[in-house]
Amino acid sequence: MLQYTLKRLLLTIPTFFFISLLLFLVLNIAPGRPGAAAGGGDGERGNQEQKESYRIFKEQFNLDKPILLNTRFALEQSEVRELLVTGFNLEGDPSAAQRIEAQDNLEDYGNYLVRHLVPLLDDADPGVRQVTADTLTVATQMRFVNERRGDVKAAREKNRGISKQNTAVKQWRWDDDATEAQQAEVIASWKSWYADNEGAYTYTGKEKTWAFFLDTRFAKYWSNLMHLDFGVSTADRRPVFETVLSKLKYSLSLTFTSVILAYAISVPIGVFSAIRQGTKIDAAVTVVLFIMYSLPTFFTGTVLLRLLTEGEPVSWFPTGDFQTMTSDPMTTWALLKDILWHLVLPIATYTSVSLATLSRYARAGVIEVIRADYIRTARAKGLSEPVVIIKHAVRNGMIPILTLLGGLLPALVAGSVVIEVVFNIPGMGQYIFQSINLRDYNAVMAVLLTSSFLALIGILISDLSYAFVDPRISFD
Amino acid sequence: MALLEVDNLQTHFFTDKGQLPSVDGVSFEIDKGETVGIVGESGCGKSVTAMSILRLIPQPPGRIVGGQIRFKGRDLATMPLNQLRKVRGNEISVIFQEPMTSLNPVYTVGDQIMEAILLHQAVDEDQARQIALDMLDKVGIPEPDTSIDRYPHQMSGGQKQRVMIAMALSCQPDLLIADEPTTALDVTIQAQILELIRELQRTNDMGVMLITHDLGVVAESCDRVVVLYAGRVAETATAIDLFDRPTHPYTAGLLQALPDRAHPGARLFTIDGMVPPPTDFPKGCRFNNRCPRATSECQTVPPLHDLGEGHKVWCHHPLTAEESAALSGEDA
Amino acid sequence: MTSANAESAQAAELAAEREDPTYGEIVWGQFTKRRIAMASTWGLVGLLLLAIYTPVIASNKPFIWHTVADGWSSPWLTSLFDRNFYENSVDIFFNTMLVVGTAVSIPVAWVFRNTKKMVRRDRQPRRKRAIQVALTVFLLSFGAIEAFPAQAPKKVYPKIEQQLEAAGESHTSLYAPLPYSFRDGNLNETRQPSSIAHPLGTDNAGRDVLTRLIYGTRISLTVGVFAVALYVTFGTIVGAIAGFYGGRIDMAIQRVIEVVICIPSLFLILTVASFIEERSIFHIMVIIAAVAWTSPARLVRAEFLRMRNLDFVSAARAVGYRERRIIFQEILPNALAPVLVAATFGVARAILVESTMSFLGLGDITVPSWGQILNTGRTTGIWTLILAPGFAIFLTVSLLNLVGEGVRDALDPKLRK
Repeated sequence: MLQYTLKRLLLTIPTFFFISLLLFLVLNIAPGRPGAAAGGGDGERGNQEQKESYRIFKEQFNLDKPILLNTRFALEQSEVRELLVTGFNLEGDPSAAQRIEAQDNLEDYGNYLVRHLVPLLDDADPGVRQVTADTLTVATQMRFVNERRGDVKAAREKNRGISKQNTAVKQWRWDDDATEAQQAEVIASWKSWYADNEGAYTYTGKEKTWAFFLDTRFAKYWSNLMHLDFGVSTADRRPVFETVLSKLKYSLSLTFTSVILAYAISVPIGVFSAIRQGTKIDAAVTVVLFIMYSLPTFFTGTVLLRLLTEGEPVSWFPTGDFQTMTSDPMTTWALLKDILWHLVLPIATYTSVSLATLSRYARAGVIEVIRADYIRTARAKGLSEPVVIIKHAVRNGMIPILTLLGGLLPALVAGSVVIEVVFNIPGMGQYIFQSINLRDYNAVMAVLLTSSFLALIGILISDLSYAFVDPRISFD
Repeated sequence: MALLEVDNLQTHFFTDKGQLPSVDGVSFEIDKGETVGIVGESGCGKSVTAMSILRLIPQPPGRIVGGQIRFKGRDLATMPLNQLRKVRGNEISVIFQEPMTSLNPVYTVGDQIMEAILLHQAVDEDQARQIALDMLDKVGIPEPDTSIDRYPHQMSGGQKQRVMIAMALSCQPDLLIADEPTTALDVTIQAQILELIRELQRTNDMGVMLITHDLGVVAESCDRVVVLYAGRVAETATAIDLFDRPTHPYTAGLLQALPDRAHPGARLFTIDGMVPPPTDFPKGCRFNNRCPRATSECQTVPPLHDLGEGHKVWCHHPLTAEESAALSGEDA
Repeated sequence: MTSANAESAQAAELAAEREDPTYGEIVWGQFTKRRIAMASTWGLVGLLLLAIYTPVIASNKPFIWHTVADGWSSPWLTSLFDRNFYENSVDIFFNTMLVVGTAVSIPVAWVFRNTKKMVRRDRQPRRKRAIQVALTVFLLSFGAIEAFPAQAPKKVYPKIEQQLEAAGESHTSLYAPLPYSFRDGNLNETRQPSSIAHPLGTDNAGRDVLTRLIYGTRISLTVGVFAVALYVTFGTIVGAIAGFYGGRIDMAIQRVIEVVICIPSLFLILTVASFIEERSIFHIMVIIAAVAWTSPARLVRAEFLRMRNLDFVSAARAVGYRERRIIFQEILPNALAPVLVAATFGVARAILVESTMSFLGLGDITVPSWGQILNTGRTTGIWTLILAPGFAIFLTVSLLNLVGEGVRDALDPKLRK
C-alpha cells in the first residue's frame, strides 16, 4: 500500500510535466502571438525606440526563443547572409511579409548569428557590410540576469556591467554617410572584440546539445516553474504567482465547503431514498434531484441573485462579493458571519449540481448493495435494521461515490468560473476569465497550471482513499 | 413438543404478475439433534420455506400470509421484530448457498464472526475474539490466528463456507438452517462440509434443517426428509423409508431419475414436463399435469395418507407397497 | 416449389423469424415499454421538428407576396437559401432539411410502410437503400447550396408594406405567426412586456424574444449532436485501441487521458475559445469535443479490457480474422452499450457547456444562443430574457437526461420487463 502511494506520487511528476507541456503548446500555438498586443504589433515597425522596447519585451517573456527545440546553432553562413539580404532589402524584391519574417528571425536568432556575422564584415557588398554591423549591435546585446532570483545585489551588479557593454557596442555601426576610415574603425573594433569573446559564440558539442533542448521557451518556462516564477502579468505588471495565490483562498473555500456539504447531504438522501425505494417520497426526491441536476448553474445563480437580493421580492442576501468592504476592523466572529452571509447563495448554486449527481449515485449504490447476500447474512445474525443499513450497506454502497470525488474535483474547479462571475467573487475562476479577456496569458497559464495541479492531487487522494476503503483492491 | 414445528406455512409474493403462492401450506417438524432434509427441484419453495422461518424474506414483495412457526413453543411468524432478532443468530442460525457473496467484503472474517458474538453474548471484545478463534479452529480453518484477520476475498469458497458455519454456530444455536450449503462447492469439499456439520451437530445436540436438491446428500446426512413440490409437501418420511418405500409419484419419479449403477448405459428416466412457475400452478394437486397416474380426481386438493412412523403422503393415488418395493428393488 | 409450398415456406420462415429478435430489437422493445423515456423521445422529436420548421413559425419574409408591380412571389421560400439573410451554415443546414428533408422523407416513409410486412431478409436492404438514397440526396443538395451561395438583395417587407400603404397601393401578404427576424429588431419597441404580438416581449434591441428563443434551438441541437458525434467517434477508437492492445499502448493512452482529465475543462475551453477571433459553431463543437473525448475512451477501454479475454474473441482469432475486424466487428458492437448511454447524456452536457460559453461571451456571437440571451437578461435585468432561455435549456437537458436514463435501463439485463 505504501509502495503504491509512493509510486503514484512519483507518477504525478511526469503527468504534471505533460500537463504543462500540453498547456504550453496550446498557449503558444494560439493564433495571435501572446503579448503581441502589448508589444507593438507585428506589422511594419515603427521607429528605433519602439523596436527596441519590443525586443526587450520579447526577451523578457522568452518569446524570441524557439518553442520546444533549438537548432539555431546549426545555422550556415550563407543562410545568415540570405537573411540579411532579404531583411534589409538589398537584393531582389522580397515582399513585405518576407522582409518582416527575415527581420524577426535576425532579431530572434541573436547570439547564434554572431560567429557568422563577423566574417561578413569583410563581405564584397558594402551594403551587406553595413547591415552586418547593424545586426551585430543587436545580436551581441546581452540579456540581463533575472534579478528576482538568487543574490539580488550581485545580480544588479552584473546587470550594470552588462548594461555598460551593451551601450558600448551599440556605437559600433555606421550610417550611410560614413567614410571608409570610419567603417574600417568599426570593423576593427568588432574584430578585436570578437577575438576576446570568440569562445562565447562558438559551441562545443555539449553546448549544442544543451542548446537543443534547453535554450527554448519551454525549457525556460520549466526552469521558471521550478522556482515558482510564473512570470509577470501583462495587465498589472505584478508577479502572477502572488496574484494566483491570493485568489486561491477564495476559490478553495468555495470548493471545499461545497464538496463537504454535497457529500454530507447526499449520503443520507441517497440512503433514505434507497430504503424507501418505490414510495411516493422516494419519487418526489428523485424528481427534485433531477431538476437540480438539469438546471444550468448560471441560470440558478442568476435567478437566485435576482430574486433574493436587492429587495425584489426579498433582500435576504447581498448582491455578491465575498465580504462587505468596510474599513472598520471586524472581529473574527463577525467576519465569519459576514462571509457566510455572502456565500450562502453561491454555495447553494455551486453545490446543487454535484449534490444531485452524488445523491443519485449514492442511492443507486445503496439500492444495489441492499440486494446483496451479505446483507441477508447480517440480518440473519440478528442485527438491528439501522446497524445493517449503516454498518453494512452504506459502507459498501459509498465506495463508488468516493471514486466520483476524483472526477468531481476538476469539474468543480472549472465550474467556479460561472459562479464567481455571477456572484462577483474574486477567486481563480473570475481571475482566469478576466485574464482571458485581457489576453494576459501568463496569468491564464498560471491559473491553468495551478488548478490542474490541484486537480491532480485531488485525483490522487481520491484513488488512494478508494484503496483505503475497499480491501479488495490490492496492488501487486 | 418438537424443537421446531412448521404448521401450514403460507408465504406469498405480491408482484405485478399477481399474488404468487410460493409456499402454500407446508407443515413439518424438527426435533433436537435430528437432521431434516427439505428436498425438491429448483422453484419448489424450499429456500422460501427456510427463509420464512426467520422472516428473512424480502418484505416487499413477500409476506407470510398464514400458518404458524412454533419454535420452542413460541410462534415466530407473529413475534415482534425485536424479539425475533434475539432468536436470529442466537437460537436459530442460517448458512446460505453462496459463500462467495454471503460475507461482507469490506470487513475481516474475524470482525464478522465477532459481530454476532458481541451482539448476543455478554462478553467483551477479547473474549469474543477468543471464541471466534476457537470456532475457526473447530471448523477446520488452518492457522486461525492469522486467518481471523483476513478478508473474505482472500479465501477460497470452501473456506468461506466454513467461516459461515463458524459464524452461525458461534452462539451455540439450537437449530441450524442450512440452505444448500454445498451446492456451490466442489464435490470433495462438499463431503467435508457435510461431515463438519454432522460433527458440530453431535457436540451441540443441534437440530439441522438441510435444504437440498441432491438426493445423495439426503441419503448421507438426513434422518428425516420432507419432499416439496410447487409450494406444497408431497411426502415426508424417514430417510430410509423414503428410499425404500417411495409413495408419492413425484418421489418415485425423483428416485427413478437417479442413474442406476446396476444398469450402466441405460436410458435415463425423466419426469415429463417442467416444474410450473408460481404464476402457473395447476389447480388441485399441483403435480397433476406431469403425473403418470393422474385422473380427473386429481383436480382437487389431495388428501393426507398417514402411513405410520412419521411417513405421510399427500396424494390421490399413492404408490402401493408392491409398486414402491418394485422400484427400490431395482437398485439392489 | 409450387406457389402454395413457397407461401407456406415463407410463412414458416416468418414464424421462425418472429421468434428470434436481434439484440437491437430487444433493446428497442425494452425502451418502448418505458413510458417516460418514450414521452421524452417524442419531446425531443418535437424539439427537432421545431428547429427544422423554425422559419415556418418565425420569419419576417412573407410566405406569399403580391403587388401589382411585382406579381406573385414567395419571398419566404427564396429567403431560405439566401446567404444574405441566413448567414450561418447551421441555418442553411436546417433549411435544407426543411425543404429537401421534408420532400425526401415522404418516399422514405412510403418505403417503410410497404416493407413492414416483409421478412427481415427482404425488409432490411430495402429500408437501408431508401435511407441511403435519401441521405445522399440531402447531402448533395446541402453541398450544392453551400458551394453556390445565393444572395438576394435585402428587402425588409414590413417596411415596404408601410410604404405601399402610405402610397395607397394594394398588396397581399401572408406572414408566419411570428413575423420577426431573429437578428434585427425594431428600435421603437425595445423592452416590451409580453403581449399577443410578442408572446415573450422584446429585448433591449427591440428583437422578439420568442423568435430568438426558437432559433436558438437550432444552435443548441446542432452543437449537442455534432460535438458528441465527433468526440464519441474519436474516443471510442482511442479506447478500443487502448483496451484491445493493452500493454505499453494502453499505458501511454492512459497517461494522455489522465493529463487531459486533470485540466479543468471549462478553463481550457474558454482559453482556447478566446484565441479564435471569429468563433463559429464549428469551432465551438471542436473545442468541446477536444476536451470531452476522454469519457467514452475510458468506457470503451474498460469494456475492451473485459472482453478481449472472452472466448468469442479467441474463437474469432482461431478462425483467422484480422485484428481490425475483431476490434470493429466483433468486440465493438458489444462495447457500445455504455457508450450509447454516455452519448445521450453527453449531448445534454454539450448543450450546457455551449450555453455556458455563450453566457460568458465566449461563444458564437452572431447567433441567438440561449446562453447569450440569458446573459443579456442578466445585464439588462429583463426577466423574460432570463427565464425563457433558462427554461428552454432546462427542458432540452431534462428530455435528454430522461432519454439517457431510459436507454440505460433498456440496456440493463437485470431490469428486463
